[in-house]
Amino acid sequence: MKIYDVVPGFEFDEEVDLEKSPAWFLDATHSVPPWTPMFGWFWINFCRHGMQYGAEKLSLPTVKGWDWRFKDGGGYLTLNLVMDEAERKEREVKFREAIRPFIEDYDKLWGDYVDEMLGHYARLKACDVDSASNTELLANFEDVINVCRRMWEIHMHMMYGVDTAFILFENVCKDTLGIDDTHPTFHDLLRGYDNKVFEVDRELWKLSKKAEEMGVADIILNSSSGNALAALKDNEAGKKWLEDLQVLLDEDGWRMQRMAEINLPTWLEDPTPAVASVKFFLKQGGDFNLDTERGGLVKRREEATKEVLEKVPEDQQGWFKMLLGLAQKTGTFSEEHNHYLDLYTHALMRRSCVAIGKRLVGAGVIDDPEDTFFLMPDEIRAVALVPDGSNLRHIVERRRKEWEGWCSKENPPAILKEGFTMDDAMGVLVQSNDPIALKVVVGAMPVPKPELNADLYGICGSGGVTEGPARVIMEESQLDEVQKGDILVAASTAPSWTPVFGLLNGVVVDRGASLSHSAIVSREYGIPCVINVFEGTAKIKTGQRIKVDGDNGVVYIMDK
Amino acid sequence: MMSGTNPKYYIWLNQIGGLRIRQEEYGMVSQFKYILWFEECSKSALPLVGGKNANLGEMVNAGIRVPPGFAVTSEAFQQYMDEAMLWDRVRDTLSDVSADDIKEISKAGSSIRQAILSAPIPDEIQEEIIAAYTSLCEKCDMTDLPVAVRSSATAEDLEDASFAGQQDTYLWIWGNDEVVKATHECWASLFTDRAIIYRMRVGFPQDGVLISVGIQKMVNSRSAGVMFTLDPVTGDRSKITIDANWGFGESIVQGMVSPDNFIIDKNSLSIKQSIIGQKDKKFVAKGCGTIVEPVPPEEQVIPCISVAEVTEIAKMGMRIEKHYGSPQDIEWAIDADLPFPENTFSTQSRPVTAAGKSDFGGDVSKEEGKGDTDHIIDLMLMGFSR
Repeated sequence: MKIYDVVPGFEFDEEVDLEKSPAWFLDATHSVPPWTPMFGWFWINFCRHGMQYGAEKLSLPTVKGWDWRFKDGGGYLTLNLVMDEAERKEREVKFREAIRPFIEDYDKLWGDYVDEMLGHYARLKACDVDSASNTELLANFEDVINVCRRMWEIHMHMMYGVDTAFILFENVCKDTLGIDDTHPTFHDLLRGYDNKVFEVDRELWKLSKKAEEMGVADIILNSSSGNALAALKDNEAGKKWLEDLQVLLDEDGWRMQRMAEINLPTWLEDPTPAVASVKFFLKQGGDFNLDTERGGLVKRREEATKEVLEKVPEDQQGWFKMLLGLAQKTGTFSEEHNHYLDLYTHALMRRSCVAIGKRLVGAGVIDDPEDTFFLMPDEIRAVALVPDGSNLRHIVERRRKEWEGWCSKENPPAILKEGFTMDDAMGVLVQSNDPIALKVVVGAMPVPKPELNADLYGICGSGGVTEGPARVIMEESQLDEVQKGDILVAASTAPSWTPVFGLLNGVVVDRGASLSHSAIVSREYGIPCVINVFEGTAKIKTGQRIKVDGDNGVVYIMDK
Repeated sequence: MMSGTNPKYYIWLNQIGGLRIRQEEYGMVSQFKYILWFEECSKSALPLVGGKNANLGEMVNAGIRVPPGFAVTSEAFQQYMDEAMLWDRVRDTLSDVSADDIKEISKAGSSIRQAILSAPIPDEIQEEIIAAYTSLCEKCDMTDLPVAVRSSATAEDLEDASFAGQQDTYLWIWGNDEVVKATHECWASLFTDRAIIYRMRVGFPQDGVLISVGIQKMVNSRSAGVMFTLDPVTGDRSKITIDANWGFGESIVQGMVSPDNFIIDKNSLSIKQSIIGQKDKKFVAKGCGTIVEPVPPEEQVIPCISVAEVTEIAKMGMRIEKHYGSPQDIEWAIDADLPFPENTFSTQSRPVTAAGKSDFGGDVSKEEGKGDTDHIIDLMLMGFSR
């Protein structure tokens, strides 16, 4: 049998694909480290589909979404530009109608989508994977595939609409009020809102209070995050506390540790990250920071809104307020969608793959339930109903070896046709006016301010000035090291890092944009954050005293 | 109108088709091969003279006076790099260096800069720089005229954003040899460690960048100050306000004295209000910089600019506002070396920010009778067709 080591149909083919487009960019945010083959199959098929669906549904005038290819575990993307002027005009006409729901009733649009997805999730979860028949289990797997496809449709329809609105708001603020997206007033306008991610954090904070009441706080505080679970299980009160945690996880534990991969356990399977979050709240003590901060932030938002509206003439206030309202919602969307869309769907993808994996192990087809991550859906289909007598070990072994090879080297940031330079490629990106590309790929570049004589120049993610010891964190497992008052220095941050922000005095990240996680969460916690310093994790060492000037977007290393 | 996208990428776009750029292609016939006077620089010459010089040229052509000067074009740099075979050196030195290896980059950068500084500038180019500088000196009626020598990148940035380079600026340079030397150093600054790292990170080729150099008269400031093309207190756009003191403008920017203050009506160009301040200190040029000096008592309480000068400055403010399409915060100076009105310069201008009261931009305003949603959609479509 011929075995493909790549996503069938979407393998990067230099000869053909560079003819289609001269520039393909690596999605380094999601596909570094490289994807397992099964996850890559899901992403390449359906993220690609979702982007094209979203761009078509909105009839974006300049771009028809992105095309994707799979190469050595990396996702490579290019833009489908609208080249024909007449076609563009036609698309503009349709765009007028298609974008309307975002402006007129955003809450209904997003609310309906969330309800739809929760319905899909409820149906998927209703399948008891341990007792289901092989037929039911395969049906669940096929359902997961369809749900994933639908999730990406919703994801990208929303994201294209939301980013279009956000970019417009940024430009209006810059052109008419002289404040850009790194200006503290701009941040004040948009912050002080609750969202689903913060709600979960608040529940975890409540659990930390409960741990204190039940006398198990010390167990959590004194054990490393890896051992905390075992220590809790050894203790009567600890067991009771874990039951309370389970109630929360049943509702909100459908999330992954890694944003775009399924090869690490969900919170439900392994609550270690949840317990680690509780530990942060215990270390920090006191009230739930976000609630303490919120009152002040809401007040500042109202003041900033008033200040800005004073500059908007009476007859222009109607649309301006509408656009401001939309921008405020879209700030929340960029945090919240991770919870309802990607992370939830991925958790159910993992559940289905592992459940089938267990059956296949039982039937002697593979050795480990997670070996399914090295199979393709068609291979699952080939054995899922009647596994008897089949053996897929040779496929798993070969692909795992292939995958280990991908992981041992770095994928190039772009694949370009001969004679085509990176600046040409960036030109194409800009020309597309693709709202997601503009927000994600072409971020604002720092401007050096020699008069400040700083050590690192970035841009303002969140205003304010602070000083403290640096804590360089390269991966999530190190988060346990964070102490109260630290300034976090990282390449970037992810939703599961949010609780740790309560301990921090400031944040410095190598990459980011005004809508990236680190900036949004810093603003909600009211701590200074400098993004896009590029060399923060290279130049700053843990323990060094640093000063973060969020307002000016610069960082000083005090003891060099 | 919309300025959402990073402008530097537009420049990259302009460069498709290779980096070899010749004056003729831009329809320019200059007396020199490698030099363009600011008045010969325009936006279309950007690849040749870089963002800063092109911007200065554009201002001059819009009737806004800036201290006189010229650009040493990127063609000169290209010619020099080719002749000295320095591109190979750049490629060889950086071929195996990774963006993460700061130490190696630092070593490579310093070796490239060393190589550039030790390769002599071709006679033809040196002669042109000296000839242009000499004619600038003659224009200002002064030998060894002090100038500012600045790099003006053609690819990586626009006027203000030399993140990539932090390419150098040399102030108070005078004399043929010194001007040539500062130009040479500007060229080398294209390969500072930071610039190299930046290009690696964004995937910009190390051998695909060009640089132009701007050489501009240092203002010998008799009087200077700040002007707003609106009344910053009331937001009234029919007025211009000017603050002025003797010497260089730093004293105003730093709020060191109570300056002379004038309010001018834009329509009639008449002075509506003048308050003469007690100007006891001023900045004056000394060596390679400025120092604070006391103002003689008899000069402290007399206006530091004449009525004709006030009017000339106000007219310039209106031209700048019109050119940029929004109220401006302008630094100006009156030069002691040139005759009136050629001595009235704008040294810097920026849009009035949210801190000052500014008018809501007309470009995005909704017409009467149009629906709010429709207006937002119109603006979105304008954004797409940028």
